[in-house]
Amino acid sequence: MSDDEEHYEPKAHKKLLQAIGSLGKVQHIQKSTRDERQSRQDEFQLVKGVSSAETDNTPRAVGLNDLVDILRTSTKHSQTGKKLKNIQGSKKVLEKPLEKPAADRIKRTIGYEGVTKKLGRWDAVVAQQRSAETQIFPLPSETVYVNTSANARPLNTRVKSNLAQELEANKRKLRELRKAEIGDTTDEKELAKQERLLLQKKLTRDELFARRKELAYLKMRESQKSAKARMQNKIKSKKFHKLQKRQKMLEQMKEFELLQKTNPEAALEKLNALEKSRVQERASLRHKNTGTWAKNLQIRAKYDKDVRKDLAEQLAVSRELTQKKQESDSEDETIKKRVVPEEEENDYDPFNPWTKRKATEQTENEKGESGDANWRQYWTKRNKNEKLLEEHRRDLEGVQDNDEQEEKETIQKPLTEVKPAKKKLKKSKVKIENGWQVEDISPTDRKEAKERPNSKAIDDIFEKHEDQIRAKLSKKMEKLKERVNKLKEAPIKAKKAKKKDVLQNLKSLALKKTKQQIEIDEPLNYEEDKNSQNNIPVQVESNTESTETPAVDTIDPNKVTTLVFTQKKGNSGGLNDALIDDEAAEYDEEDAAAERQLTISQAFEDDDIVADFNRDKGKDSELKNTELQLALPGWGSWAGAGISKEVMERRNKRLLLKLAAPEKRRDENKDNLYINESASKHARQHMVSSIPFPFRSLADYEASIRAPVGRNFVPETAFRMLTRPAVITRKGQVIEPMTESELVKPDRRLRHIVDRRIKRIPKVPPKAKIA
Amino acid sequence: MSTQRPKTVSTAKESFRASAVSADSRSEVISHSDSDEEWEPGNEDKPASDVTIYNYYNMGPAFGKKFPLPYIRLMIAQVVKEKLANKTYNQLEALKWIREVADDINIKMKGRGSSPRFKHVVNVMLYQQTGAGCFYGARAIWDELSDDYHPKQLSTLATGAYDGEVRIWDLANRISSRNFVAHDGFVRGIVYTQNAARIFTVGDDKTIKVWKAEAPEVGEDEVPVNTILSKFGLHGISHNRKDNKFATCGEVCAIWDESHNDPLKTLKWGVDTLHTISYNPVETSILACCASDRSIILYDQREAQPLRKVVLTMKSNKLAWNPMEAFNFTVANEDCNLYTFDTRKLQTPLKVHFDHVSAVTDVDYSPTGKEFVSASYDKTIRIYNAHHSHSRDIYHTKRMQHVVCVAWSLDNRYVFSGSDEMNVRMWKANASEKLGVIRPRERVNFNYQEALKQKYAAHPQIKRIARHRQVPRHVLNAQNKMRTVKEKEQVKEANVRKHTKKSKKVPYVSEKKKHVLKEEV
Repeated sequence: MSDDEEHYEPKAHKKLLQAIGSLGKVQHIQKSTRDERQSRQDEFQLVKGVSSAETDNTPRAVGLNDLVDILRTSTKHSQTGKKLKNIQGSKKVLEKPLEKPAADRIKRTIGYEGVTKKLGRWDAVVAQQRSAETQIFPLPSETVYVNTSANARPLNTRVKSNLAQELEANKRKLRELRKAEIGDTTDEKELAKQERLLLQKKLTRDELFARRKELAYLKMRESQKSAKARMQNKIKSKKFHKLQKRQKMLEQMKEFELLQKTNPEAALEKLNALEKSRVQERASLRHKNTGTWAKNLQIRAKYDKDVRKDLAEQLAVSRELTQKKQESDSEDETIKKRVVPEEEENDYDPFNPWTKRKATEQTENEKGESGDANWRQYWTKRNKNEKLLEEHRRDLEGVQDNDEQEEKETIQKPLTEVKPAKKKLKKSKVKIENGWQVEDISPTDRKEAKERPNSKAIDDIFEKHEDQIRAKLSKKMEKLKERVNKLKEAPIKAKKAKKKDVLQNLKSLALKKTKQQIEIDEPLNYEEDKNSQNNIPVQVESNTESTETPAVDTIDPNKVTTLVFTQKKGNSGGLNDALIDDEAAEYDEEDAAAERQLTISQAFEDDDIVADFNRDKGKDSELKNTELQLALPGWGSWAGAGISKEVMERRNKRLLLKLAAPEKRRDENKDNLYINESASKHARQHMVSSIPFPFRSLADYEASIRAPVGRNFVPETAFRMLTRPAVITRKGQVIEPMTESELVKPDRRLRHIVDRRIKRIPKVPPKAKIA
Repeated sequence: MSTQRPKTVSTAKESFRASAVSADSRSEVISHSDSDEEWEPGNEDKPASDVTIYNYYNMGPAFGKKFPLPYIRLMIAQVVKEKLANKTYNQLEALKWIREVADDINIKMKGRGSSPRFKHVVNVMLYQQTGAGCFYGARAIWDELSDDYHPKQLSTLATGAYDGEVRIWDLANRISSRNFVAHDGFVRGIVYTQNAARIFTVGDDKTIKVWKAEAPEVGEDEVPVNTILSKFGLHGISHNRKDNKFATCGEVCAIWDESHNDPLKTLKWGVDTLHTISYNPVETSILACCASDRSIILYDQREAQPLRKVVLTMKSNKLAWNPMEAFNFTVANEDCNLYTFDTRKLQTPLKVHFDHVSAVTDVDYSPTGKEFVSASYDKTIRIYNAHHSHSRDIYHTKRMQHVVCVAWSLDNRYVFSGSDEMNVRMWKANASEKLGVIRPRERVNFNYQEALKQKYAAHPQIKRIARHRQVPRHVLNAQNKMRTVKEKEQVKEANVRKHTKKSKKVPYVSEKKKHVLKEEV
């Protein structure tokens, strides 16, 4: 044993020595071996490799020079070596990357853009799905049916006999012989294989290209964006910022102009914002020559002409800014003045009660429906009325003080418009008409009006003043008209703009629905759960009762129409002067619009409606046929004639049925009131009060209600079509989410002109080809 | 497992969580006739004995009674007789006569014909309301937290519970066919792979476990195929519908490959916990998370960074993508509302869905993408049309507590709910639908009734009946309270508006815009 121990083994000894030597530096933790792909390495796995420091020749980092030296050895690469050297010399350092948050943000935006684009592909499919009258789930996928039975070779399960094998070999030989005869030396199998390989290769290559392109594009976008972000943060040039500011302003102006056309409300807001920024600038003492720059210049201004000029310019700018404000102020005032006469409510016709009421209504209505379409109409009418009024008044007043007035009348004409307005204005100081604020007239005007009879000397002053006012007014009027026209367009366009909602957009894309169904999106009506079982039968009963009364259960489409309008009336607050055409069963929409604008006064110009109503009332309350004779001739006189008259009379009296006197009319003693008592209260709760959602016009809705659905009215196929449910699913069949096969791929863009020309050639239908 | 019928389609439906377990009351396994054509839960010879079933449905009155054909014949005969009696044919006159006859019939029909039709509609509505036997079946288990369907078998549902147990349900027989304890603590998420061979579960013990979808052989133990220890806490899981990737959320959103034990990538934005994750079923690389800082974050599994974040006023509890509209998703929010968003326009939701009176806990789309179902803390389930802001229907029962999770069956027939009182419930998706075999004539009649309902939907009485629902008292009270509060706020706003200067005008903010705080890039 001892011999064995002492036996010297140089290898083992060396190992031992090494182990002892490196005792202090031993790495206890093994270097980890990765068996999973990981995107992130954590620090626990990073083990310091066994240091090679103890070895003498420590390898230093490889420098470029080493590389160049090696390259120099062969003449072939010496050029490359030089180039490398040169590159090192040029020292073009890469730019510092962006800060991490900024870089991340850029990455995120690019990613999101990509996703939105990708999702956008589904728009058309979704729109089509939504607009489809009937949707069948699971979605019918396009399956290609190939009859494989013709090409299918039966599976060889039998062991071939010798004879069969021989036959096969012969066949093969024969085929080869034939080929040789033709001169075809290619191997079919080989060819097929090659082709397949080629195809595969090509496909992958194309894919690779596409992918590389996409990646390159993304990279480019990212670098562009980061470069831009970096640049913009750095720029210090005041001029640049000034220019940028100006550009921004221009952009805003453009936006504003665009908005003005599409969405005037937003435009107004924008205008306000712009105005505000202007005001801020004005308030900031920018151009007041109070800044340090101006103060410095002021010192030099004594000696330098140019500096003085600069300062003067600056002041001019400030003056301009403030000047503008005054102008705008005056604008407001004149508008106020101009609008005042609108308030005048003196066109009073003592003979026509309807027109009287209408006049008071008019203002109310206008308040309600601000910015209305018949604004201009109103104006023209008003002007006419004013003229008539003037004449009327002149006739009345002419007797009393024609002497005094004669001289002034020419001057006063415009002012008479103002005068009557005063009384009204005392009651309601500020009114809003079509969005404009209307305020009390300025006190000076009133004074003028009072002073007029006393002072003839001031006439000239008045004249001047009036001329001014008139000029301004005409100007303002034009402006107003313009604005009003814009306002008129506004509501329509605003609606259109709102439609940009994605959902709506889709709808516009969609095909037109042929079968419209009512959509009701309202909260459910709730009731407590407690006595649910009791409630339901009661409902059934009550409902059947109500439906059984003959007056109730018919729904007359005409009545539906009336209700619609009466509701509107209630909304607008005032009496509605719309005319309702009861008899028009086929209700025309355009006519309706026109008719609604017919005022009652116009419609009943000739006849006296009040009298008509009263006549109706009288007719109803008259006693008519309160007694009914039930006796029939011959009844009771079985024995023939000759029965005493007394007996007959007594009997007839007995058979006389006395009816109760008709109930009093509710509006019997009320003079100008006519309550329609024939309208049924019970029917009302069964009538539709407004046009339900998908329908735009009453006529459409009525038509849809009138159209029968049942098989008793329409042919069977039509019945099936009409009652086809909106969604068809099958029991026990899994409905898969949409797949890419639903997407309609866009046509490939053809680059070559010949390709395009070929594409334009109309395709010959296959049938024609055959023929 | 007596009934499992392979269906022709493949793909997994993600996102349902529920829970499971207590007494395993397995009734005798029943031989079941496998009819591939129609899967009818009502067809079984003997369903589980301890399940309560409510399934009543009254058909409406026969149409012939409401619309007497003989009467119409008589009327037409009368009119014709009246108009054409004692007249000889004359070509010039004939046209006029025909028109007269037609007008007469028309007028008479207006008077008599239309009203019974209307009455018929009312009757249909009423019968459907009273016959709406929506509650289908229930069974006691422990609290549910998560559930997922077998993507190929309609009759299989998996649920995970607060006590860490997973249960697989045989829906046709309404029994639990398999159960095992998967995790210590809650089962946070459960999901089938796209080929339905495996089930992934995540739990509070920071592990992802992979289980076989089939039950083990007799005598074998329930052992997970694979257990992955995660570095981060896990709150949810979702599986990609097309490839073998899945995503988990928790402290970070991690994308995993089925064949690897380390995540392919982790996506992080901020430090908040992500508590829900959901893959888009159509554009399968897109996914979304809800974070506890009230935000919804969009991801793309191919990108190295999250895409976008939108912050709402309150926390979103759950998120569901529309399976038929790739770009729309709906979130169930803590503020009693649901919000449907367009992924491309996150600053305003497309629609705000009201009606719940307490926090909405879960949402799931119907496979048709037209409707979705929501579960709420107010102990009710509601069904919404995806484009309407008010619910179509409300489901509740006396014993159902806070509903935790909800799912819509893949054949669009049933809705499943798991609630705090440890029950999984199965509801009909359309309450008044008839279960069982429907004969063609019946089908035609139903379609006709539906068409009539649609036609007269706007009539006030019909509308009233159609929208009338009995609700529990607490819901009614809460609703009244919410209405009062809302009205008060509106009055207040109007007053503020009235009494502020025109120059400092109070803006009108639409209801849609109120709830979105900001969109972060």
